[in-house]
Amino acid sequence: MQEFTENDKMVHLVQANPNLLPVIHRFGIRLGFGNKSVAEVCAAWQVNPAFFLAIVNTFHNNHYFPEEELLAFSPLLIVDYLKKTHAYYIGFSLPQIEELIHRLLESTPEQNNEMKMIEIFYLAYKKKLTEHIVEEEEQVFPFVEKLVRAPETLTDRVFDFNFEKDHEHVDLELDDLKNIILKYMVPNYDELVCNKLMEEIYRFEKDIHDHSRIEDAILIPQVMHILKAGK
Amino acid sequence: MIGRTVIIVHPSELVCRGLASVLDGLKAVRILCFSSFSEIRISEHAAAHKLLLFVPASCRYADDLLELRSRIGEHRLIGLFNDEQEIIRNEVFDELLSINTSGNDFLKLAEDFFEEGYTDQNDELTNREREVLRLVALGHSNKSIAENLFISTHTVISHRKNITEKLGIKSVPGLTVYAIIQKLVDTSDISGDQLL
Repeated sequence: MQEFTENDKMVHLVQANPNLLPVIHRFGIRLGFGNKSVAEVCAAWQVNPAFFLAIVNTFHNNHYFPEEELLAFSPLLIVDYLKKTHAYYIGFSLPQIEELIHRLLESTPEQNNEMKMIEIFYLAYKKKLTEHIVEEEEQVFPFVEKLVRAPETLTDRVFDFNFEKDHEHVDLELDDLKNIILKYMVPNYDELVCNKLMEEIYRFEKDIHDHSRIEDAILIPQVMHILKAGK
Repeated sequence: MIGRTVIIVHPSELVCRGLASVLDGLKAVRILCFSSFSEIRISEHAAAHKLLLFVPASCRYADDLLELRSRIGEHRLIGLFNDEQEIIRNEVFDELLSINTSGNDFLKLAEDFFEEGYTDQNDELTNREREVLRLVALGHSNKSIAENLFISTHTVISHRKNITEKLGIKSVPGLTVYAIIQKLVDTSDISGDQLL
């Protein structure tokens, strides 16, 4: 298992795994790394290098999840990162997949009401996911920020959000979407569009899986811990 | 492994033969008839892959049956009764049926039992599974599907498990899309929010 460190060159991360580029961008870091190390680039963009590496390594390795290390970071850092991934999903991943599904269905001469259901299924999925994201942004994250910054202003210290069920559901339907296309798509379609769509779905699936894991295994336990300590 | 077996125990030869001929349509199932419980050498059948037993529901056998159940593998025990007045120990049986039940219902019950957990090589859905899937797509609950098809909710759940395994589709919206693509239901039967 490859684990990146502060002394690695930043450019080496992207060369080793191009899927890391969106994650790096999410931290506000821009290209033009030259030969600078991770530590140097992080310093230049005012990013916490330990946190950056924990996230990047989690993303890079399926079996890497430094739970203790992540739990030690401020919940504010976690929330900030989660917000940025939300923005990426809403601003890029979800519309991108939508457009590709639309183009895929347009590319088949057998386009009919039945195949059209794939698009309707996706739109329903997107709507549910967006609602879930909005709920986190409007209720959960502000609660966490208040709890850390100004706990005395919190009138209600009850936190009963549990998103594991929602997350499971999101995973399930994305998996169904993949299977429906892979197993039951009619044979006439534009293969380039299809390749791109599947690539994008797989990438998104991995991204959102990591994202949910950080919420369920890091953020929620952190909040519970703070609430318990404050009693 | 001995395959799928039906054992019918009944003192009336007519009942035995009648039920056996009704169930004759089952594929790859062995049917055995006995006039009394004592004739069965259960050790010979304990290893059967799936065992469906029809026995008289009268109390006389209850303790023997309970003991028997602990010794055999996957099975279903159906008690046959003559009239409602009979004294029957409910807890012994999976299901109680009057001997006046229609042949079709007997057959359906047996089909469901043997279809449960039975996966075809080619992963094609069985007719019964397609029917369950159609109702799922139309938005029915397990309970309502059970009522529609005259089967237990337990059987519905087991069908749904098999459907999901065969198709690789787990969510209700996903199954609905599959049902439409396969033309099991028409798009006009589905309202948009059924996918939500």
